[in-house]
Amino acid sequence: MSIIRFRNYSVYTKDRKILDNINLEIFENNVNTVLGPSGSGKSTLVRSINRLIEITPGLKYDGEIYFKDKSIFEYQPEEIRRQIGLVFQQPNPFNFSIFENVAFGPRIHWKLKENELEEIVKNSLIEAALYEEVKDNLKKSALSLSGGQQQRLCIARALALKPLVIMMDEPTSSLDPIAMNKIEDLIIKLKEKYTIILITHDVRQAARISDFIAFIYNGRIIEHSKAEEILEKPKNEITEKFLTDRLG
Amino acid sequence: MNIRVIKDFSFKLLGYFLILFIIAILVAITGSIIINGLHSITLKMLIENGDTTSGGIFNAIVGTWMLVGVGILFSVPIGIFSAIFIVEYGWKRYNSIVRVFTDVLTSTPSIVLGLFGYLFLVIQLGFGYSLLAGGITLGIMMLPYILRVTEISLTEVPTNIKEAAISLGAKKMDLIFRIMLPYAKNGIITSTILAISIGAGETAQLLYTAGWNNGIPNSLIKSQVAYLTYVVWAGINQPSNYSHQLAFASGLILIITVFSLIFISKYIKR
Amino acid sequence: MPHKLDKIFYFLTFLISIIPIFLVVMLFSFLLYYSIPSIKYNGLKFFTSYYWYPGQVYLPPVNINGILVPYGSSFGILLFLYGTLITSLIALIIAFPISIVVSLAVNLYVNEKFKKLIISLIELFAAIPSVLYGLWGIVYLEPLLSNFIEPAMNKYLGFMPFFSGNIYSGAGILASSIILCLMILPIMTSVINGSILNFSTSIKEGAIALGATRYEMARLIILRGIKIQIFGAAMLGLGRALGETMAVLMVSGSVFNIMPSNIYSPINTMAAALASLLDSAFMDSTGMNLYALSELGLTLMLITLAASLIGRFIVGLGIIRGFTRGEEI
Ligand SMILES: Nc1ncnc2c1ncn2[C@@H]1O[C@H](COP(=O)(O)OP(=O)(O)O)[C@@H](O)[C@H]1O
Ligand SMILES: [Mg+2]
Repeated sequence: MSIIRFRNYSVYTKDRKILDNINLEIFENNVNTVLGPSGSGKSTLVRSINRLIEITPGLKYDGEIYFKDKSIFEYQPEEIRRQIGLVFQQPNPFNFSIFENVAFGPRIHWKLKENELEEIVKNSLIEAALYEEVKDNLKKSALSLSGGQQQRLCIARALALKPLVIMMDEPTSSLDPIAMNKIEDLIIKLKEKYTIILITHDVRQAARISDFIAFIYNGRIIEHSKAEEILEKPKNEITEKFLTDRLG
Repeated sequence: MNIRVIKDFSFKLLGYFLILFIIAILVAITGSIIINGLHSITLKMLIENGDTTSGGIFNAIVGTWMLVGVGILFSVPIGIFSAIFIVEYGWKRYNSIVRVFTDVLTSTPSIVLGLFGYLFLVIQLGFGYSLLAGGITLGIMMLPYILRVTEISLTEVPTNIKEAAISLGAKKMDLIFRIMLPYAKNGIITSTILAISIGAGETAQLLYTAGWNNGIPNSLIKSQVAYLTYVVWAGINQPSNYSHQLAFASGLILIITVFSLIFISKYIKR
Repeated sequence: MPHKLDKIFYFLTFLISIIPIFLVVMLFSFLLYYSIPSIKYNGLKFFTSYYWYPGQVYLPPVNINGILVPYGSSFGILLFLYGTLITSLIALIIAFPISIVVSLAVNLYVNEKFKKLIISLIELFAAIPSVLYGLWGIVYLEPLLSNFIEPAMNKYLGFMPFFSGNIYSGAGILASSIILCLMILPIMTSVINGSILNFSTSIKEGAIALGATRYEMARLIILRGIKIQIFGAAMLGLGRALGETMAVLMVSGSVFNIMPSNIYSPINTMAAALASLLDSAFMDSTGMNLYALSELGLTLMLITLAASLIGRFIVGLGIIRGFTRGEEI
């Protein structure tokens, strides 16, 4: 089942196309990887889904993106962003306590009693596999955490909004290998409950955890299929070249 | 030794001399006020009301803080909300217009602001010499400062933090009140403290807006206010020794207040 | 803007952001409105006469060309205008080289730690309230000037007309200029220091590679393009000096109707005159004193604005009255 669909969707600057006529399906409860070299438009793709593009100065778009068969532009932007979480490349926790970071989303969307809020924060931290490490220090500043912990905190922060989709834009590219492993394990676990969109330029990472891979190049989706198919028998020579270059 | 080295050495010497000279003058000015102040001040002065020739300066100390307080209450909210508009909504053209006008306010001589305060607040709005007239006139002077510093602090909130909040579904007002203002908090507090220190040392705006009161004002309007800088000015211009003592005592309190506020603000900025 | 609350907030903040504009418009309107009777009555004589006399406000007003004014009154600001310009210019002439040499020396010869300390100390100058400069001026500077410095200047510089002749109580042009100089030094040093910082590293490396001495580097830095910032700094300093009120009021000697004969003479400035004349103006039932002072205020405002806005435009910094923050803004 596809939960998000792109239909002839493009993004332009004044003088060029950043995304060129994208048609793409995102499948529910799978890890949907968008793989491509840097500068190919991956971030723009996910930023389009949660409608950050329309508030970015200098960018224009046309075409459609459907979420649950309704155009994302028919939702309130805040509602789309609640249901589709985004985790950025650089961990970007707020300069608040760990608790307040996770509580931020629920606080602005729902009127909650303090104990309900605590429940949500706790569950989100558990889901993001961070709770055991921070349960005694929820009042401590989020900035005191390590990079990997900060990234899991950002995942917890998104999970606290009970989203359907979690998008992660190169979530491990600023982390060390151990922290990366933890996040990859987490992603595999999370796909049981959530739809995952993973952005990466790392072919090995794509191979380890993807169910589907879309290869993007110069703003175009070159090919899109099951992970094994695209990795073993790429149909397009650009894809093939990219894969062989990266895998050596 | 060639001529180049000699020139370099002389320039260095001149530079060091001027630096030391300037610092010496600074020390002389502050030192003389502090020492004279310490010789003049008595506990009685601090707790008694006075009229710049007799009594104490309690009314002037209280009046100064009241005036500064009204100035802050006027300038801080206006400054913060204007800065929010400029940073979050304003278009380029409008922002630069506001900028020019606040620059005009900053560049206006304090006595001209005082005259305006007199014509507009004292006469036109009928406040009379009062807390409200004096305080708002001070506030008008503080406003561009608060606005500018807040604007800069808000602009400096990192984009990735703003995007994090937006991607969690924060509406504009959530973004402003829960993210931007907390992040800009230190800048706003520092600028407020510095504005207090500037306001506490002002005189010319207050001469014809605050007046003088031998006691504590009992109303926001039409009740005159005493303030410390007036005691300095009026006291030193009177012949009696005691007036001079009151002037120096007020000077001491002013300089301690102003310098401590500056140190506090530097500390907060860390 | 889909949310109602957001919309309300937008308009609220928009309205508030108009307040600074509104205040400036009101400021000009009030000054202009109150100036008009004086502009009509005094005409050009306002600027060409140095005789200012509020008139006999307790006698019945007289009718001159259909306008009621206090008996014997005269409104000419030439003395004040001259005082404002001469004290500010002398202050600038002293402060200009000092601030340049100090900021260059601090950047070229002093290590990083002391440099910060020195700059903060100099900026502390800007935080000292005006009246305290005046207080210090009355108690220390005036006696120093009249007992030692002015006699010496008279003796050694007396061959020049402006430096010869009578010495007075110490209050006057020289005292005002010195105080103003101290008050504008921090803003000028701070701005010049900022612009040196902005590009000294690249120059420094290049110059040292070429084997230049630090003095040569200093000249290079100035030649290479902070000239314009130095000019801006001077304008900002001038703007402050022109509008300074209390300190000058206290050490100027507050003279009326006597043009100064030399640098030791008592003087009056526009700002100081405005401060000292306003309360007697309220006695004038015809209002002409207030109108004339409003015109004086308007004139002062326009002159000050010209200097400050040119300075601000050039420097592009948010330098704020009372405390310079050149390094931060
Ligand atoms: N706001 C923008 N304005 C102009 N160009 C942009 C903007 N955002 C991204 N781009 C350009 O679009 C291209 C794709 O960017 P991005 O989506 O960040 O790629 P990726 O995430 O794959 O590295 C890049 O060449 C980038 O320079
Ligand atoms: Mg990217």
